[in-house]
Amino acid sequence: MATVLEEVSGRPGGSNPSTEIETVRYDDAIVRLFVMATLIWGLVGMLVGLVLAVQLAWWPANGLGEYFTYGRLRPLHTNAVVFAFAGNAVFAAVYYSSQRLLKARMFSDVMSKFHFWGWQGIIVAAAITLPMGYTQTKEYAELEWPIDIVTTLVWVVFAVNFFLTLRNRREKHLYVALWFYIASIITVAVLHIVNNLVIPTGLFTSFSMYAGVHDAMIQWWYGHNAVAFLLTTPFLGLMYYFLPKAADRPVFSYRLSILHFWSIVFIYIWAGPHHLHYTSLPEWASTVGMVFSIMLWMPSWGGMINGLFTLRGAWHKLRDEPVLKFFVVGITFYGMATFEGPMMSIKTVNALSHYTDWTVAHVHAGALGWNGFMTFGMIYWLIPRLWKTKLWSTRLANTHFWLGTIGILLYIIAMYSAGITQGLMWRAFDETGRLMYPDFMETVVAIMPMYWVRVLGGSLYFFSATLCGVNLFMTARSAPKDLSDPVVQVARPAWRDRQVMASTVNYDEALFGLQDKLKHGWHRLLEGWPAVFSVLVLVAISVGSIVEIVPMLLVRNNVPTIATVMPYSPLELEGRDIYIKEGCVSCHTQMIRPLRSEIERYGEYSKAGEGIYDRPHLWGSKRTGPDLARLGGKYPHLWHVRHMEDPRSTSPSSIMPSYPWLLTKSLDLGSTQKKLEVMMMLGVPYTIDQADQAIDLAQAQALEIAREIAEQGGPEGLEDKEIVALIAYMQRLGIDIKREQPRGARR
Amino acid sequence: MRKDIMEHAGLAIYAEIALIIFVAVFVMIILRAILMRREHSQFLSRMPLEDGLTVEQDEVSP
Ligand code: HEC
Repeated sequence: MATVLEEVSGRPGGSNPSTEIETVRYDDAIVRLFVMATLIWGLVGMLVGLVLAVQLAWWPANGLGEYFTYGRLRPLHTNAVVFAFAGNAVFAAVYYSSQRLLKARMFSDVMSKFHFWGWQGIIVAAAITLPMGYTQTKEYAELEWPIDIVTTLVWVVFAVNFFLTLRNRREKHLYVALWFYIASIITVAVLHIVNNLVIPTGLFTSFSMYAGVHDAMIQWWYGHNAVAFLLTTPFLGLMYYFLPKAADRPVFSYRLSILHFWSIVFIYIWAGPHHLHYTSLPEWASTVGMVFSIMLWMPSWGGMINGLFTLRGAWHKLRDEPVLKFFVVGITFYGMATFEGPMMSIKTVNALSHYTDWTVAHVHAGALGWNGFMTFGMIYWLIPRLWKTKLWSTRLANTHFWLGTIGILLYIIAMYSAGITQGLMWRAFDETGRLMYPDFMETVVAIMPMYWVRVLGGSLYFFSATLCGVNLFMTARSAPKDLSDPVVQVARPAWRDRQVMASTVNYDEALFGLQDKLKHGWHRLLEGWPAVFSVLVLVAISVGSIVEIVPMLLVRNNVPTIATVMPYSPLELEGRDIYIKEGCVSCHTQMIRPLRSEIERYGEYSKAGEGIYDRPHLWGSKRTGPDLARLGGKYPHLWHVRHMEDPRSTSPSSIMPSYPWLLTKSLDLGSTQKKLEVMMMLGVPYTIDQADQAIDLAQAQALEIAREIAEQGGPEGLEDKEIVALIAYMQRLGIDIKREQPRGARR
Repeated sequence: MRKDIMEHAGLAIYAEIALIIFVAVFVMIILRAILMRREHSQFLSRMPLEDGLTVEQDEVSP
């Protein structure tokens, strides 16, 4: 017993004779809740992903109705997996490991519960509002402003609870896993707030505070760091805690883990612009993003090696221990994804990979392999401990592991193959110097078999995850009735007493005390001082953000203005909101890169000055359909009516969903005036007259378009339907720079 | 207006200073980690393995 206490207090025995013992009750009930939520939402998120995979392979699967088309479900899938599955897994890890590393119960049970239920409430709100089409469209930041405010509140409660637990700790030193948690909590808060700054136009609608290239820059600074600080750093904390636990040996190199931590915190924050290569982002920003991304490769591999080497001498345990199997494959995927990421950030590679399914393969190597398998490993390790009984079936867990692994491999191989095929076909020229595949659909049909392989891989992964659910359920059923909190005894921290003493002594003794502390090195001083540590982390991430973002926002010549680019007409603005609501951005980009093949296929490349009225930007990140940046004037209105009603009527093998309701649903102009007013507030040069007459202007333009459709032989009476607004918007896309003169004051 | 002011305020120097501090702190941290004493890093690395001494439930229950 004595030795245990010595180890707990971290001091050699004897030097501290007055060791008192304190009793700590860890809150495991909250961990159980988060584990269950992780599994339930994980299955939901994966199921939605599976539906999406089927929709791309077989378009009739979009026929579930207006709320369940590909465009509306895709953000539901990404949000569910990122925030509900990975998010709850992170919280389970944080609540379990922090209490034990700090030798303290969470500061407040009420706050823990509020955090749990608040977070689940946010998820439910997302599951309802996203299919309804309430979205800010920025990837992983789709949720509208009221939900964002609640998210902020819940996050703050979580943070306060966490930091007050830190303050109550009985262990002076903060283990590296806690550093990763601290960095995650702080950075996610900063990212969330900055990227979600919007001006509401209604209860669930808003315009971004940023426009065009600025909006894109902020979005991908956010998007990339959401990957870093929600899907990487907390999972590294998870790894550094649960891997040594499961292997029953300390991490291979603690020094390496420190390097790993600081490099990631310092470097990751800069890498965001690699999502915007060859766009109208200024060249310097995209180069900074590339350089820092390449720098990330080394610390990431340091972390992977640290994880894998922790198992040195324990590899035999892998044979029958599913937990370690999951961890090893998870960490291997971490290494793979963090090698591939820097590679994809190299501009020449990115020219091929961007907008293709290669990116989809990359994120799923990360999400299914790294996040998924680390989560399942942790859950299988936790189940017997949280439910105080043996895992129901280790064999089932092993089956899960193998099916899941095969599922991931099928998935990513299919998507690599699809992505590279797309990339090569889009850029292929024949010997006469013309595009080899001018019809975009050719490049879609070519990858259809791969879409089916993805469905297979995804189904396997989903099915294997249900096995985890069964295992948890059956274990929980045979759990003892009394799942009371575990109670441990730890030494009363001597350093706390010393602090109390130190505060009462005179100046001389205080100086001696400080000298004593410094003898142990300032780094130790720091880590015993979480507030300062947290501030340092904040400084580290802010410098990267500010150096990148502020010049972009301030310096005018980053966005050369184009005289002929004018604000959208009221009807076009409404059409744009329909485009946003239907999630067209999840299949269509609006950003033509200055590459020969793209200019040939789509027209003049996109300029930064064209987006100055785009709030939010709609550049997109994936081309399942063709780019639409220069769509205006390409087809007559009637073509669009037919195409939206049934894309197969104009493009026989199209996989785009049909949108027949656009022809029947009435156009709601109720908030058009408000929208113009908010735009004016944001500096868009509408006149007060235009805002006052917004509805009249919209109706007049709608009437004109409806008349042309009828003249072209289409259906009559569309002037008050949503389709006319959408057509007005689509016909406006990319035409302003072709004008000699700015469009007249007519609209 | 706001942009004109900010552009002419000569703020670029702050970004450069920030960058220098950034790199300096980073280098210091790395040196510190590399030079950390072996016993200390070993002690730290064992932290997750110690949960405290588990007490049998009936010992503490009322
Ligand atoms: C599942 C992915 C997907 C979604 C979602 C989607 N599209 Fe498409 N879209 C395609 C594909 C594939 C094509 C190419 C075949 C075709 O013309 O239908 C296409 C073609 C188009 C074209 C013709 C472009 C051209 O230059 O020929 C337009 C216009 C268009 N889509 C508009 C929209 C709008 C508006 C929405 C949202 C209401 C939307 N799409 C949603 C996949 C999608």
